[in-house]
Amino acid sequence: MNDRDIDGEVWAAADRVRDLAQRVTIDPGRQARLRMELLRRHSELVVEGGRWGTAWRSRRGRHLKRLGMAAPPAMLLAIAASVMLWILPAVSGHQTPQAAEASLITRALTRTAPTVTGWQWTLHEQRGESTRVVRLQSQLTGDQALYVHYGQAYLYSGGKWQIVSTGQPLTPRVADWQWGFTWLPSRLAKHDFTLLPDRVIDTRRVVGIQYTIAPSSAAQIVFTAWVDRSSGLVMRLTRVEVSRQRVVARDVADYRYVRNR
Amino acid sequence: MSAFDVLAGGNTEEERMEEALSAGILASCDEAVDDGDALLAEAAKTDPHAFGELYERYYARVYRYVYHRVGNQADAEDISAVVFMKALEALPTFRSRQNGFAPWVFRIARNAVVDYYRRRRKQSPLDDIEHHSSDSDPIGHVLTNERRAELHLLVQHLSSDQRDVVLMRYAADLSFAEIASAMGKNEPAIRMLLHRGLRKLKAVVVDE
Repeated sequence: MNDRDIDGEVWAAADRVRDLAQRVTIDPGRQARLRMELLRRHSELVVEGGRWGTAWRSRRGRHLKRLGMAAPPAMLLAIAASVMLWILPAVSGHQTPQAAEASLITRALTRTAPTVTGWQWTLHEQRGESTRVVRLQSQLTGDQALYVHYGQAYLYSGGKWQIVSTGQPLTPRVADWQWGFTWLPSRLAKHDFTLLPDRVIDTRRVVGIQYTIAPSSAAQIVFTAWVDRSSGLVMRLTRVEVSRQRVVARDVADYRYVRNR
Repeated sequence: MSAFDVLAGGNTEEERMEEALSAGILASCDEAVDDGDALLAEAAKTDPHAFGELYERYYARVYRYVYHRVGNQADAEDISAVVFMKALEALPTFRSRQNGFAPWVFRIARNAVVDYYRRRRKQSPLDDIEHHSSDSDPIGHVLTNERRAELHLLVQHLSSDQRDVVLMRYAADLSFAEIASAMGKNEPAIRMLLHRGLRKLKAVVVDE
């Protein structure tokens, strides 16, 4: 801490005051007990339970109680899915289903990201007639964690923050697909996507988030992320490149996560 | 550490090695982030480990500030606990895009000390130990050498703003920008307050 930018006549006083100010004894036992109490209290206040989450849970509960229709199971599921899309804006206060869905997924991912300790992804690359399959695995160390805030994914590593990719690559290399599941937050923040009907991937019900990037007038790249709503995690990410109305490349990346905490 | 397993045909050994080498965890992390504590506070909204880390980073700084405001260990410990409890309960309202975490938590600390003195005045009106500064009352005449080492007594003779600036700067290690944000003033005003406070203290703390 450099005070040499204040008037020189008080430098000596500043040094002495700093010395006196730092000369304080802290009871480590008391500090540790307070930490335990705070973390206990934190667990009571997390979003899924406790006072922090009460307002959201009670609003959603009241609306969902109105659903109760007698119909064949498949039809009931279809009706429930469409009604859910319809009521989401009313429940969440958002203007469109996209905004409501984006909010749900982003909140889930914000909660889930720090619990991810590793992931495995399998990439199927198709170029014309040839196909290549690559399977890779990533593992975070004990002092690393992933976080998502304001549409951006961060890696917290060794006490420092780093942004995980500043933008989605149009033509990802294999190494880029390692972070493919982190491209979603920034897209969700823009609300610029199409919702696709739910499907099942690896026993999980997932929703499709599809968006298109047009690098030129003759080319289009369509990304589709299949997302588990409860966790906000991408289970499958596909990329289809169309040039002059012909599919020239198709990539499918499947993600499996290891979580703890 | 990462492991790899490449399947199917078409890959050369060189391609496999290149993919393995480029598949490191930090390969695609682009930029460092400056305001790490604000991001940590965002993370702490859902992650208790992040809140625990914030606590470890700020407890000593908050405690030192509070201690020199109230002058005794027991009250300093109690008030510091209140500060972190209030910070935890108010965490959902913290906005990293609007605030740094340090100014935010020291606003809470400052208010907690004010509340402490307000309660003391209600309980013991005659026991008010907050003195007002007086330029005509040289501090050194009433303090022994021993008491010159007790900073909380010395800063009692500063104005409340001067006292807060001095303690936030030297006990809490805040930057001028952080102090300005915590106190709702601009940086030039903070520097002026610090200079005036140090001038008043100079006569007592510096051996001539």
